[in-house]
Amino acid sequence: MEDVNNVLDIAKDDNLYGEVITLADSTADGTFLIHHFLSFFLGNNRPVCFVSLSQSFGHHKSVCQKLGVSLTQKIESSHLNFFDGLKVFGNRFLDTQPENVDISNTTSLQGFYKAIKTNYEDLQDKNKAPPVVIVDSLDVLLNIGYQVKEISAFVQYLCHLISGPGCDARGTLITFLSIGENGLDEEASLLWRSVVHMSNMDVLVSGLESGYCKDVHGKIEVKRRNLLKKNSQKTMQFKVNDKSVNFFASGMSRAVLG
Amino acid sequence: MIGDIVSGSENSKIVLIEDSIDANGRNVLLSYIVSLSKITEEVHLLLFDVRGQDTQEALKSLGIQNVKVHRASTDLLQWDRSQGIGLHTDIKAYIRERLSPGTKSVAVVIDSLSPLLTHTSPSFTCKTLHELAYSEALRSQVQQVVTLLHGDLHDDNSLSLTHHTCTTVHKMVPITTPYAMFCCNTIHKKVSGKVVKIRESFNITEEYQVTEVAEVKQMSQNLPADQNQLDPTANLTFNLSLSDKEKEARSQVILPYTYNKERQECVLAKSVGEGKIFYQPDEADDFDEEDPDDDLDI
Repeated sequence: MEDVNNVLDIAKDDNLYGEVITLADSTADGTFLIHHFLSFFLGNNRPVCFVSLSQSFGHHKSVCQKLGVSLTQKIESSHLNFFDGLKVFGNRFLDTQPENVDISNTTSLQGFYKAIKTNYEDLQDKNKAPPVVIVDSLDVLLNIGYQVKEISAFVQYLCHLISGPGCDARGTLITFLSIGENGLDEEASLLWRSVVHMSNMDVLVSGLESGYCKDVHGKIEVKRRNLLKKNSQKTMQFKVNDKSVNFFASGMSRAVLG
Repeated sequence: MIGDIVSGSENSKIVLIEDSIDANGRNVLLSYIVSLSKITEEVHLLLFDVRGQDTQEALKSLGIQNVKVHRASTDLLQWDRSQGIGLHTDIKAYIRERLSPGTKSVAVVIDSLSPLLTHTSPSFTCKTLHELAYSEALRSQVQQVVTLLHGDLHDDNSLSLTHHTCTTVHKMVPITTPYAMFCCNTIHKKVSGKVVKIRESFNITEEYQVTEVAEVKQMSQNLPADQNQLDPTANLTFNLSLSDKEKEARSQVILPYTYNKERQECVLAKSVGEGKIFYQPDEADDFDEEDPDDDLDI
């Protein structure tokens, strides 16, 4: 997955301390970015707090196995904290919550944030290094009925968690969300914009305007926002393979040229 | 225009900088802070936004002393139950308590207003802005209130309400010219009541000075109006206009019934017992072939 680093302008041993990175996809699948970052940070021995809201542990485990990182080992060595959001919010889908349980402590975003915070501080203490928080994916929270403003406040709290006063070096926050076809999902787009306003870098994966293609899976746009500098912006097309991703300049796919 | 308002030579009480994910407005906000730190005794900077930490770091690197930073973003909704400020705090009272004694002129800068507008009502937000600028709540002269707002996170209703409260609105837009880094549409309400609307491009130096301000003319004004109008007589199968030679030839044709001595004698000699009509223009008659209706007063 080194190509991904080149596209994102990240060096192989970059720590990305204090960075807030927003990943998003529409019409094309951008989850390869999540797995890239997960294996990238674990490979660099950064502690990772992975909040999975859309997939089970088994799914991520088998994908990372292919990329050469064993999630089970990483959990045993306390490098990884896998936070299974499916279990936490499962009750909300099934609506089997007994009425006398205090909802605010278990499934509210405040309670959820507190749980992540405890995990984060735990990882930080064990590894003596600022952890990475990866959230996959925020739009699930929208689907189970949270408002955009609640979720953006949740992300804001996470942003401050990673730049907290407890540690000199800052952690990293990576969030992923799916914004639906061509931004037609207004709530998801609004959430995306508000998260992008909080981030240093945002990556958007989208399908080709001309429709699906076997050899070109979509385009990827990388933007960095800095004060005083012209915001750098980069657009490439890509094809996801079994274990890697090929990138090429727009319209320069081998399949197109050959 | 924007240079004058930032430097303070053009008066404006409440300034709103509206940005979006495509055009960042934080640089302009920093220009305001740098300028205000020179013309007022104390600047109070309220951070509600995560990226407010960029503003704070930029100010630190510039070494400006009289800006007091209040971080309200870290515990916005009191989830951490810390004692710090958040959305629940009464901003006026909070700043009043933290004013240095004897301060005569202050300025309040908010980065950004979006969390306030999202989590509270638009009317509350407008009221807060208005009170900060005009009421006696701070017990000292408030020179200016400058605030950043992410325009793409709010509906039109909240935005227009906020616009009405402000005396100047800079709406950041993506640049269209290659010479500048920033571009914004400004609506400025002067004290006299005149409203100025202008689009300008500009650069910001490393010391956060606004330079090279230039008005950006709308594209439609730049184009000559008739450039795109096609000449309808261009590709006709018949001729509508006359060349000089043809005009001369036409002027020599003698129209029938026109009074002409030669012709009169010729006709009179030929015919016997028939009436003839000859037209003889008198002095008042305007015999102009080019425009026969010229004498009509319509």
